[in-house]
Amino acid sequence: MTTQPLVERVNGIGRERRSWLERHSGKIAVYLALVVFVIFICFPFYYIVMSSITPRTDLFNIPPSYWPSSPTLENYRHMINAVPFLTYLRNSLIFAVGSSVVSVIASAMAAYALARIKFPGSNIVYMLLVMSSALPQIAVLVPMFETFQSFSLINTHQGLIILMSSLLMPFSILILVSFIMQIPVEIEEAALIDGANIVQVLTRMMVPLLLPALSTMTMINFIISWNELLYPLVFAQRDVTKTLSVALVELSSDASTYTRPWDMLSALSVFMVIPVLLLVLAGQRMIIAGLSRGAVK
Amino acid sequence: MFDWFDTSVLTLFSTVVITRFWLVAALAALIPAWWARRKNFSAGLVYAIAAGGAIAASEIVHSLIPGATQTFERGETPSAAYTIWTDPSFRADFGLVLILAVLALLVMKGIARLRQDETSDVVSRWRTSAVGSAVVLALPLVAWGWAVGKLLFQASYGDIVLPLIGFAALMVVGGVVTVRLIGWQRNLGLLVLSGVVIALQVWFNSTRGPASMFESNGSVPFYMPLIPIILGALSAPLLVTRWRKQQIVALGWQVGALAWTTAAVGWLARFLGFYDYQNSFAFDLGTVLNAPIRVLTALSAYYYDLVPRELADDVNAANAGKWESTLAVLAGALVLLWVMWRAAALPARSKPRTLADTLERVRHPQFSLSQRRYVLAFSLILPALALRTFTTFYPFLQTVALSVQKYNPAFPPRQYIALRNFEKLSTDLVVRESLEFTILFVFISTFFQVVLGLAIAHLLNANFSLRGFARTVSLIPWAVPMVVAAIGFRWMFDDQFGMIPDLLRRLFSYQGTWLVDPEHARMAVTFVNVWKSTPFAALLLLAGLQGISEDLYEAAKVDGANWIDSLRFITVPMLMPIIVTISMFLLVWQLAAFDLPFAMTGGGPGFSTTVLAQKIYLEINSLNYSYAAAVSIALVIVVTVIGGLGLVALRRSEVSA
Repeated sequence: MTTQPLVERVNGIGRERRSWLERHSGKIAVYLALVVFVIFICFPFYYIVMSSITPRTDLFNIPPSYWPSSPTLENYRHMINAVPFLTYLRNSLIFAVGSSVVSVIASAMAAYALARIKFPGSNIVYMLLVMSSALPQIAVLVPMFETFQSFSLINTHQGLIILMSSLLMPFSILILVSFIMQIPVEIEEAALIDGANIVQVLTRMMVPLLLPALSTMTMINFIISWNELLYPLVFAQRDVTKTLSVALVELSSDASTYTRPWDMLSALSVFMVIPVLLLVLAGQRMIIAGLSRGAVK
Repeated sequence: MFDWFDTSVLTLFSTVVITRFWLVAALAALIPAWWARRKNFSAGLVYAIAAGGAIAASEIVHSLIPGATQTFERGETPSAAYTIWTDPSFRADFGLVLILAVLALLVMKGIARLRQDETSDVVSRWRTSAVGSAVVLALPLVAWGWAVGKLLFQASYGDIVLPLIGFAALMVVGGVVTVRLIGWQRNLGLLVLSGVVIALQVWFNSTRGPASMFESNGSVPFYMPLIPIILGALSAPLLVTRWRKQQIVALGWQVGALAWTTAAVGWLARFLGFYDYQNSFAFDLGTVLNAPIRVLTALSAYYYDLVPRELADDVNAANAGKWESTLAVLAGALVLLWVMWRAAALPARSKPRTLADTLERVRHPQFSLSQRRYVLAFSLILPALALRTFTTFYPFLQTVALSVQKYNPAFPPRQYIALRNFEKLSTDLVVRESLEFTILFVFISTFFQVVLGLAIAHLLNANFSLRGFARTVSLIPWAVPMVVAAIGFRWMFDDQFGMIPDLLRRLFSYQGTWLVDPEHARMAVTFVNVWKSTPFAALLLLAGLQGISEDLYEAAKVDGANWIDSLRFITVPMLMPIIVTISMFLLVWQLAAFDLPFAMTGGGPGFSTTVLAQKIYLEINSLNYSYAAAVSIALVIVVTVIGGLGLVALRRSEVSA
């Protein structure tokens, strides 16, 4: 204590004199902003969840209620009875899992070739693959529909997976190329010198090294395809392939506010949000790292 | 209004298609040569087989082409495709073209053998060269024979005997003189000779009307091919005794080239003159060279079928005399000759490849290292590329094609209507409104997303204990289905039962009717979009923020900068490339956004919140496929322009950063 220089002691006195509010103003501002931010983000979910457990009659109160007065699960039962919910859920899962797996595998293969093997035109192929994501998917809908008709791929899971995995591919390739570029090439060269063939290098080295990146991309692609509306809306016209997003749109197609089944809509919405919410909670760090790689690259 | 488009397309067509024909022919000529070289077969045999195959293929194509075998009712006009494919003289010409191609290729092969034949003695060299020259010269001879055969029953020879003798004499004298010259002088001499012949012929024809069935005014007579034949007949013995092999080859080539040049010039003369194919029986190499044009016409008949007939006829008539077409034919013929020459001149493999050898190589491929790399790269990329091609690149081309047609599956005939879809589009008020809204929506959304995103990124970058939680929360709006957000907000914006109007009424006593009033509906949709993507933008910006060194801020603080200064002079300049990237990404991505307005407002009230993508969807739903394609093209153009500007901005920001 006695060895403390005078200046610091003076400063210390000054600091102690500041009020608690002054000392913590930065923190308070941050937490205030956080509260506003969280409310801004989460309020719609609160509202949806609340509506889903409010009886249908209470939904049409004026002014609207902000608190579930008499919570009930009636809406869920009603919804599951009204739409072939389990079929749609199965379709959504097949669609999302299939698309994400196919797109990640195909993109990883292409990304390895683009990142590692220099061949004439590789840059052009890379630009072509990545830039093509700018082409609006709706712009190719009509020819795609006619082609699918002639291949009889409409109303099939394969057809939807083909379309969706192709849509996911540019972004996946972009991210995976930047991941692969990070892995030092010397490892592979050493393995090749030691007598491994290229297939061994790919399966025994690149796959384990890339596993985090691959699972990240699978998660991201799963979320994107789970949310996809346009392709299932157009290419799934029967119950055997319709996904939950289509069901949601069809339920809400009623024009009048009074007849629109908001009770069922909110229950279905909750079901649609749960899987992605779980994924986000489980893998937020990886997903954020994966997404921001595309921007910062 | 867009007739100019068809006119220019047809004009281009006549030139481009002809050029393309020759290029394809040149490429196709490579295949037999390559195969013969691989197998150590006689190239000539392969060429013959290939030509036979081509003739057979033409028959098959003919039977397959729908327009060529159509049946039509009385009074119905047959399509251009039908007319041309069923015309016997056209098919004769087609066969002629193929035979000439075979002959030309045989010549190439003969000359190639001549070139390789370094060790053989003089006699065998003579034989080879004689065969080569003879085949070169047989080209026009066959054409001539063909013509005579055609004319035999229709002509009276009296009118042409005199000029024939006169020209033949001229040929003999000129040929003898010319072949005695050496090097460039000989070339020049041959050219001058042929020029003189042509000039004389044109003059001869112009002094009188088309006197016989053999001529039309300005045309070149059928005995024109005799020029190179006589030249060759004169030169063949001379060649063997006087000159060395290289010179023989050179002369053979010059003669052959001259034959074709003369014929082409003759063809040009006819083309510039008042030439009516149907009524003229004059037949010469000009006609021969005209045959490819007719083949091409047949191939392009589909285009003509698409174009309104009056227009096509006019343009055809106008194009008939175009010198560009002639140039294209000449250039194409030269390219073809060059390719065939080089292909046939390739040295044969030293070791013949047997079937067992091939199988062995298939079983135990021994690629070089670089070949293996390419094979690997190709096979790795192939699935992705194939998928993208199948679902994006190729359908996009189809969309482009669809946008100039009239196609509605409910009203079947699919018609070519040039740019009329775009004409309609430019006057379509819904398209205009939705274009305005799309651009407004996208730019305002992106602006708020980036600005608010930057603020949120600062919050997420601050040092506090719930930071991980905050980052998770900010990922949620991105992860939530757009449909869910849209429908949820639709309910929340509802005038009577919604929460947001209620809150606004209570807190600010604001009485807006949100989804009923167009302006408010637009604001609501934009708001939801900002809500959905701002945290996502914030996360991307956060990654950039984390890349900025803390020292910079410390240094700025020491220099007395406040937070506005450090934002302005450190954060924004350092983040500029990322900001531009994100903005571009958001702009392009949201331009194609479809599900938000679709699920939230359905484009209403009226069309006030209809984005272009949704307009396309509406048109598809009402089965106006071709109009939807035209709107799609407009959308792609907007995306391209904005994306292109974004790329320019990105390059700038990267250079300055």
